Amino acid sequence: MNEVKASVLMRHEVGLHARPSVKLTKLAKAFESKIDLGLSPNGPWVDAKSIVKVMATKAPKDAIIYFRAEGSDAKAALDALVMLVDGDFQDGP
Amino acid sequence: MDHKTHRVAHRVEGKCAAPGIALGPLVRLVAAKSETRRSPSAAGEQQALADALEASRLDLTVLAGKVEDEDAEAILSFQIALLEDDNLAAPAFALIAEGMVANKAWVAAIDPEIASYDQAEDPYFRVRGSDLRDLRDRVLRRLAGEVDQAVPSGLIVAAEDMPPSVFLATDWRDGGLVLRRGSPSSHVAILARSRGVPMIVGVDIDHLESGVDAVLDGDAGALIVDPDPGLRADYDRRLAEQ
Repeated sequence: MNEVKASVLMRHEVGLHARPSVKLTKLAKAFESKIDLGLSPNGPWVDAKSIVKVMATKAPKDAIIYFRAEGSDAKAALDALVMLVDGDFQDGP
Repeated sequence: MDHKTHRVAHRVEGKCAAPGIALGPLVRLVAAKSETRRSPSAAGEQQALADALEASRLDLTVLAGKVEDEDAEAILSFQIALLEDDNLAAPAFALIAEGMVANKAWVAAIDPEIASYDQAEDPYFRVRGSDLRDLRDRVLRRLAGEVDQAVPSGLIVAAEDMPPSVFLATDWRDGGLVLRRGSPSSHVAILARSRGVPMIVGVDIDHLESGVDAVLDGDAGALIVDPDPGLRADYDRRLAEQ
């Protein structure tokens, strides 16, 4: 199966902290594909569905978030995740 | 003068964390005892931890359904999301399989996580340490078989410290909070200010007894124990005006 990759600049004022991490991992879990997140194009990679792992990257403001995904809905998953980060995590309250 | 009935008012100084006045009986909360678990089997301990995690998740979910402000909702939904992530407790289950008791394994698994946030450069990540501590202690209380103590409203609560989730589970109508630890910039102080709960921190609570009458002056940052009738009347008036 093909691996899909994407990256996006995170402008969120306080980085990937509690509330953005909750939103990101919830969205990732909505997809079947295996999805990883990293702070460089070559990893290290962490499971994007795990809030414990995602928070532990302590990604600051202006970090570029890299995603890679593998599975039936990999492309749709990364499109949605990139849109969430690019839209500053504003998908509701 | 009758020494048996007359008690002298005394004033204990602290730092203002949330303004306002509260009058009422004082109650001192005692920290949970960490009991030693006995003759456990690994399977029994793993089950005990799984049960404590699930009970904690339910506690927080019920609480999240009751709160209405965004700060409180954000704190609770983050803690719930952590509990729903198997990665959080996976190291604890591995330690239990190696023979450790559940409460020690849970602490051993989560303390390095707390330390990593405490050391973060970014203040937004540093405060995550307090969320994890809150969660650690809730699961420990559940492992020890405790349920959340319901504190009736109208009391002045004195404690060493109070995690946000316990603050949010308490009915603060006409009440107030006195802490030894904590700071005016803590999560709990932010919640207290937004809910109008008078609160002071940095108070020596050692000599405070449950049941005494007290006035909490969040504006001045002080607690007055056994106020005399004149002082009490002054505060009654201020309370009516606030």
